[in-house]
Amino acid sequence: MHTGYMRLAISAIIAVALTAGRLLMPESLIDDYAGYVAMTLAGLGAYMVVEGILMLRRTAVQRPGESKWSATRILLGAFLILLIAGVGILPLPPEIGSVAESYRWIALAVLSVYVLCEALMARHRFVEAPGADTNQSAGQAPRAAASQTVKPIKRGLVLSVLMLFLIVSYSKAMTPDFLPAGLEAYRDVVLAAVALLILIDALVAVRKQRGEYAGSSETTQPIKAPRPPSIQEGAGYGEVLAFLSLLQEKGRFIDFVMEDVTTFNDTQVAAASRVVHQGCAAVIREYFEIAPVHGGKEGEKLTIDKGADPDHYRLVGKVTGAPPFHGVVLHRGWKTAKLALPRYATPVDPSAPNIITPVEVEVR
Amino acid sequence: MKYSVGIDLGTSNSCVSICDLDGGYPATINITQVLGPSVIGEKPLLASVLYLSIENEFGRGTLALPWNPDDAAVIGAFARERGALAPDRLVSSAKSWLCNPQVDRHAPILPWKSELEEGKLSPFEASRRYLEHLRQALEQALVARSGTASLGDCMIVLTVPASFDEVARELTHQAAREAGLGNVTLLEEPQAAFYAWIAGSEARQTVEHWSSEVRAGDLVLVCDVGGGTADFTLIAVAAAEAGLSQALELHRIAVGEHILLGGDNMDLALAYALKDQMSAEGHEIDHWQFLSLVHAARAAKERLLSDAAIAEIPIAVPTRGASLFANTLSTTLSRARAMALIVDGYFPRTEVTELPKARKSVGLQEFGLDYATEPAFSKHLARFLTRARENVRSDPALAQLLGDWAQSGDAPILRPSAVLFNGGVFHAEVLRERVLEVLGSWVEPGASVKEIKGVGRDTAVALGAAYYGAAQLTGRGIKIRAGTSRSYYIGLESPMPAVPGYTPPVKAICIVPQGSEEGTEWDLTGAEFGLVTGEPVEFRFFSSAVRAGDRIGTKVENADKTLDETSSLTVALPPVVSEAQQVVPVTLRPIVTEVGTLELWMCHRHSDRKWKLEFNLRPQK
Repeated sequence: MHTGYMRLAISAIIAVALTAGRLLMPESLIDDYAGYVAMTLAGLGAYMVVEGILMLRRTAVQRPGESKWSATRILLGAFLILLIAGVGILPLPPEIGSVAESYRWIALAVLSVYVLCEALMARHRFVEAPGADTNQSAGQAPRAAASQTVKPIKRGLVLSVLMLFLIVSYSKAMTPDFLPAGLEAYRDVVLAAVALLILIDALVAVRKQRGEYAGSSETTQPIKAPRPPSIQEGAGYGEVLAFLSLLQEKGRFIDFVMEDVTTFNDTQVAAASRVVHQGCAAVIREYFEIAPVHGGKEGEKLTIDKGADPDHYRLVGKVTGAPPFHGVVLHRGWKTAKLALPRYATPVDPSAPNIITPVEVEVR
Repeated sequence: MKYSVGIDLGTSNSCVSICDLDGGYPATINITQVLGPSVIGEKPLLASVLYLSIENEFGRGTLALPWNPDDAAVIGAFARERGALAPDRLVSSAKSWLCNPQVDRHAPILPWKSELEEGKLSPFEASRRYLEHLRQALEQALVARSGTASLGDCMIVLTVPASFDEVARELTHQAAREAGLGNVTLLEEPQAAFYAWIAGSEARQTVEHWSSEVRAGDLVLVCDVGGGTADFTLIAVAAAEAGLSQALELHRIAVGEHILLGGDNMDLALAYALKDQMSAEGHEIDHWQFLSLVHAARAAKERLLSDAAIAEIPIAVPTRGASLFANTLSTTLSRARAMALIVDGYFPRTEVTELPKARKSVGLQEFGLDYATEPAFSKHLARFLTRARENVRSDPALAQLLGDWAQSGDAPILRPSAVLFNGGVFHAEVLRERVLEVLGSWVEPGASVKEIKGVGRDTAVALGAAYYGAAQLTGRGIKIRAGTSRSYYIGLESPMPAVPGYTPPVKAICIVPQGSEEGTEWDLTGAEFGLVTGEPVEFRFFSSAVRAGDRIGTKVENADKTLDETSSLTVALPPVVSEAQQVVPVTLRPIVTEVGTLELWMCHRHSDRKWKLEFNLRPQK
């Protein structure tokens, strides 16, 4: 699942819960409203942790510079959960009035709007960027998408700064006199942490965007290691590539098939084919153990019984009715008792040019 | 102990096998190695070559192994392929260098004659790296077997050529220790091949147990010809004393010299012949085409020697360029030509009295050295058997053990009655037959020398070593009685007045007799040395493979002529504070350790202080 969708879903739930929750909340629950908000905040914290881990996993290899931001995000999220858990477990003092409630409510609403915005941005980046929807990670997205996605990120930045300001000013101006100072401070810490978190989030997004789309920008960290493909993407490509280069190195296979044969006479073709045959046969014998499927001769009669493995036989000609089938062996088939391909250690990017055999230069 | 492990550190290929002590027979392990940049895979053999890559020659981490994420030096299959194209950066035949007394074996001299300015390795270090790679592969295999990689559960037997002298054995042992293998037990390679045959006959569970294939009085020649070296050993079969569990006893009675001649020389000989043939047909080939030609020659040799029905094999040689059709040269290798070059060239029908010319310094060059001087294995074999006869003559006890048949006959050789072949060269039946034929003609007209059928010739040494370890640990199975393959001597300067232009003869005293078993030690009474404290003292050190009759304390006149001089020995006594330049009376205590190395100690007569003598590895000028 795309992280963009996940963010969208979670932030939508939070936003709906915060805005509609107050209106739709049953009478019996109004008393427990503080606990409800605390739970929402805990959910938000959990979301941040999840998001941070996802980001960390994605960026660890490609952009080590960003990992520390993601790690900070995880820590902050965890901190938030801990704080809120404390509130959830400890009953809130009855002195907390409606003013304080609404203040917290506004802050959280702003928070969720930001997350919504951020999620929209991410969705845009991951899904709608042309060419980025199949097997490309964000790094391969074309630069055309850059100008479209810079805006939401800037918006996120502005929003979070605004929110920080709101929280600070609200807490100063609207703190009721009867509230104990300790609780006040506690709440501010929570909300300030959230705001800081968002700020970091936005910073990460901006950094990342510069790195990916601005490309040549000197301020960003250069992308060193090739991007690792995900499990489905490019699986086995490396092994195929390695095998192909083995066939070329040992048996000149690519040289053989890439040249136009028509201009050469049979003697020349024969001489070349000996090279290919000797080399490729050695490679095949090393990594496979090939034997005919059908032990007998070609041209002899064969009966295929009902229980025969369909993978072993391909029926051609007039195939009607039910087994047993009677026929003549046209080709005896091949099977391999061993599959021991050499393993390819570094990830292969199937969209980039991959080297089968390098240019050979004799240094004199 | 749960496992016995056999390690064959070969000159061109290495191999490891494991034997489970709770029953079961030795099996080789797969050795993970680099097959190309970013490509790794497993093979049962590890090519004993090391390629020193240039900085940035390959991408970062593309030569990584599971246990070695970043290394500029590659060992194994890829090193050999890459090194063929850049020979200046390829370390090869480190093992042959390890037993070359003319170089300092701790000095970074490999690749030999390379113009590399830094990064060169010493023969010792190269061997250590191969062993380290094998250790890692072994640990992987142990994890796959039992989940843990504890070498403490393993008895490790490391094979060395029978021709290795004490210095080379000690260096190999030390390299294994520094590679993290611990205190390995050393075993001679031809003996290991013999054990592999015993293990094979037990594993097959055939009616014919190995002891029914040989009988008391037999003399088995183990003929081991690998890629780059040849190693001969004689094992005598004798009747055991009554009451023992085994009816037969096995004694290793002679080992050969280090001969740098093997299958690779044959491939090169064929390739040179084909090159001349092509040049006569009007095609000159360059160095790169020659490399392809060597590969093609090897493949052609294997087919021609194994299949008598093939009259000739077409050989095609491509250029290095991509154009395969326009530039591939072709020629044919006829059966007659190959037979003449390989069979008659390397295994000619020679007389028993035809020996190779005097021994020359070995190892200073690679290919071409022995090839140029004496390619005939038959002559090397004749020399070996002649020296073995000489050795037996010197010792009545040994002569009695052997039985009469082996020592009788007109020829001045010990007469083997059976041959065990080992090494890739002897896959070809025609070569085995030729060796048997030549031996038969030497033994007596019409007599035959039988062949003992060995097991998988590339891996037999490692398998046999694991079998030997298992037999040692469990007490089951038979042990070849061997002991030290040579006798060792220490030189004594004769007190003579100095005469200009005359070098006084060197007398030597036998300190370790041939055939001394592992785990023995003795004091050399009757020879007392005065050691000057505070400065290193050097002794001349000699050995001989043909003086089985010498006992401890036997004095040999003219040692520098009758014995082989090995590396000298040094000992340094810490200075005594009160009296500088004090002369301390000491006696010599030789020890043959349990793992098969030799230690020499100087013991103070009047206290229990002692000092170990070290081999001086600097070349002797």
